Amino acid sequence: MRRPTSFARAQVRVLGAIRRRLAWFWLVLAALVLVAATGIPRVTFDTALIRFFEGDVAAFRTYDDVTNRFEGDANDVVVLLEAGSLADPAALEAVSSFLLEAQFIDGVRAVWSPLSFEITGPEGVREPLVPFPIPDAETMSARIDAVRAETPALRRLMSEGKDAMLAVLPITGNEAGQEATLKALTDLAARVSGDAVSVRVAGYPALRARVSEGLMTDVIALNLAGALIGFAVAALALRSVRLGLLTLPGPLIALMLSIGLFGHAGLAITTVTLTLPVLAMILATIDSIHILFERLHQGARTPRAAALRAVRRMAPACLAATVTTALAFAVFAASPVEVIAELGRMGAVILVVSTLTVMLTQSLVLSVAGARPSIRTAFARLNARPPRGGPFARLPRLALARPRLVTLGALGLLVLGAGLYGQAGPRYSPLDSLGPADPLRATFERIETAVAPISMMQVAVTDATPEVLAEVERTIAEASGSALVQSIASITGEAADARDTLPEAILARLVSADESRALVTLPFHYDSGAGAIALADNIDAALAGNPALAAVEISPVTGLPVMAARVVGGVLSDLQTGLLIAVAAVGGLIALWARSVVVALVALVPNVLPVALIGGGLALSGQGIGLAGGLALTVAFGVAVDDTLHVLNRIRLGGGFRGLDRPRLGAAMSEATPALVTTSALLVLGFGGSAFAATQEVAAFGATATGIFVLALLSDLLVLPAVVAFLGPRFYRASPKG
Amino acid sequence: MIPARIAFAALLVATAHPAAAIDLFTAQGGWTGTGSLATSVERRMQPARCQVDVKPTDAGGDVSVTGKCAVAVGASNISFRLVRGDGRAVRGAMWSEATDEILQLAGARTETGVDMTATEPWVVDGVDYETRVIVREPDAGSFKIQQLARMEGEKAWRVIVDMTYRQP
Repeated sequence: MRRPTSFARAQVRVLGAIRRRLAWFWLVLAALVLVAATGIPRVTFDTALIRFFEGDVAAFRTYDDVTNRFEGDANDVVVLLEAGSLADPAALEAVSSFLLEAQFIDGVRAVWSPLSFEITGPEGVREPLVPFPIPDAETMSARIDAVRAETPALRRLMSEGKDAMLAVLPITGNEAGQEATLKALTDLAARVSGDAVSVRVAGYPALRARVSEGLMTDVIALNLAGALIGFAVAALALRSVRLGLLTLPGPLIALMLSIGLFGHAGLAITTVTLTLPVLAMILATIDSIHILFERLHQGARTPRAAALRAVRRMAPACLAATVTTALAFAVFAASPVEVIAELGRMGAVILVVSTLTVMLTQSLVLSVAGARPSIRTAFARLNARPPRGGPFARLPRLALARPRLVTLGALGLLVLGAGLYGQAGPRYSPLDSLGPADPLRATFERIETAVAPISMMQVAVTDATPEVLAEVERTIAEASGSALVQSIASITGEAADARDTLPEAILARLVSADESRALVTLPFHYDSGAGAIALADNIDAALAGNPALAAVEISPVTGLPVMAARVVGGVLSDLQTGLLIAVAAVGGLIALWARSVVVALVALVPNVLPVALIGGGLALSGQGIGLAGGLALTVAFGVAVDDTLHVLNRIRLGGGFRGLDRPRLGAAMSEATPALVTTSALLVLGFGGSAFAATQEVAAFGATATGIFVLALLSDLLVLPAVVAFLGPRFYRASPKG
Repeated sequence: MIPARIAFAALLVATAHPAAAIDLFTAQGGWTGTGSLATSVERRMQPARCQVDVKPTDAGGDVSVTGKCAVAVGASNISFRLVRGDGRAVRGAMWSEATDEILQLAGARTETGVDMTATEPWVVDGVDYETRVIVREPDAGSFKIQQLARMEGEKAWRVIVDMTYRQP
């Protein structure tokens, strides 16, 4: 007889204590609910775009240094005005009317538009580019063309065809006030839009407002959907609404607790951490379902003994799965990017807490509910005709019929996917926060195609003389092939008083507050993070190689897209390292638990395969891997291991790996398949809802993770039995420890 | 670029007289002005809007006007105070954020409104200008302000503010 391990002895002691002092543990549960209930009202949301990249990373430090010296565009409302021809007097009258009204809206600090420009008139007097009364369309068109040809600043604001123009309205930074200002501007845009001109509102404040709105909606919708889907899947799988309801208390308390912990920790929920409570609830539901399936096998024991024995038998797999997933999160804790490190810490804590919560809650709930006649009848009915796993039950049989083919095919795909995954580049674009059909995204894209790119590169120059700035502009224009490079020198030109006439909010983004530096900017079309970094490197090299600028102190090229691409690239590299650490840690854990290195290696194949395939697919798509995708790959690996551990646990409960033959392997798979199918359906349906989240980072996370869960189920039912059957006779069956 | 920081003094005059047109020292509340103005005495007129709040004080002897005027290139906060003098006399003082200058005015009520002139020359780019402010009341719900300026020695006046105010 096998000697009980210290872990098993500890479990027996804990469960014995629960059995003897059940009332005390109800109090513990009540305390947990109290912690959750007091933490939830303290939860806040953070949509700050820049905070996602804060950390001790060189690219962020450069960006931070430059943006601290100049006013940024984070609070700029960008208004897109379109007409058949914006040289037409009627269209310009409407534009003027909009700009006048907009300046009376609370929070609007300034306005910067093509109407801000002036030219030297026929009598040598400076006059507005758009004079009043407005001349005919032909004259107006010629005036605009003349200034556009000379001034990059106007080329950034007015399309060549004069069918679209931008007005930049810096607004006050107060987040609560921004909401009212945005609404007033949007209402005004709707009022002014008509036959003469159409007006749409965009810019980072609008983007933040949309993400914020999405975060709130997602927190409610995703958790509600997760809870409902969890209940529906459990009720269907258990063929009983009553038994389905029995799976809910643990996951719901785990959900409340995971949200409440954010409140108590004083941490805001971000687009990165939003999925944590959903993940905690779904994993808790999976544990709950495994416990309930095991409860079916407890026959005529008393309700309390049956409940506690079911929890005890499932505890190793539940805890091992939690530890593996928590390990995947824990590797993020070392990230130099604070938001990722925060995700790592919170993820690890929340998963461990929620698993312990669900085990405690389900022990108590099943102990009490199991005594009720209606529940006992439901258990008996289900036990008489246990779930089989439907068509999925055929997959292990197929695998055991052709183990060599399936194993070699899986290994081939694994190598191919891992190879492609290694080629994937980083991706970050602010527009990734918006859905493909979002009208705000359409406005941003229209701005990009009709007027000028919205992504910006920035270079801070210490010597701000017009000659030096002109040389820097020329060098950047040559290196980038762009005619949109701009600085204070090209905006003011040769007009003596032009600098004094710029609105403060506009001047502050061209010259630093202490006047020690000037900023040269380049709008560029963002295709990928790798492309942005290549262009930035090219410009850096051109500036460094220009002998005329040898004595001038020039910052490395920065800007949100470049900084983000560099930081995300570093984070993805960390995530890949973290994934490898998680794989090694999971392998080590399984090796310890199963007391076999070979079993651990075999178990890793079906778990690494889905990650490699999805990662390879993302690389093949050419878009690169964003933060959400990179995080999902690592987290989903930890989650996917859960099912494998339950299969291995089933083999262990059925007699261990020694002498494991195909009939016993087939029996273990048959027993595990219903729970695997149920829990995978839960993961796919519960988490798949995230793919439709309003917040696109959450949607990307959900889509990537769901893809891995689908592949993980197929992999566990097809690849796992195949590799165990094919490699087993060669390795662990011969092992005395196997 | 249009020199947004100058010439808002002209707007101050414009905002001073809505109260005068209806009842100089007892009119109150929010008023919206639409029309045009020149951002400098030498520049062309362009469309403009003003929003001001009129508060009479001192039992009709004193009125303060604060608000904001905007053209397409920018906006400026303004502040103005008007004091009733002996008989039909009226005195005024005004300030704008754009110029940060105080302009003194003096004049009298007429049958059709108020006519005032600046007590000191208005200096723009080193050149002295005379300025006049005329308030007219075309109908019961609105009043019209015109500000005019001319270089010393010139005969013709240039209109630099032409605004009609209504209560929204």
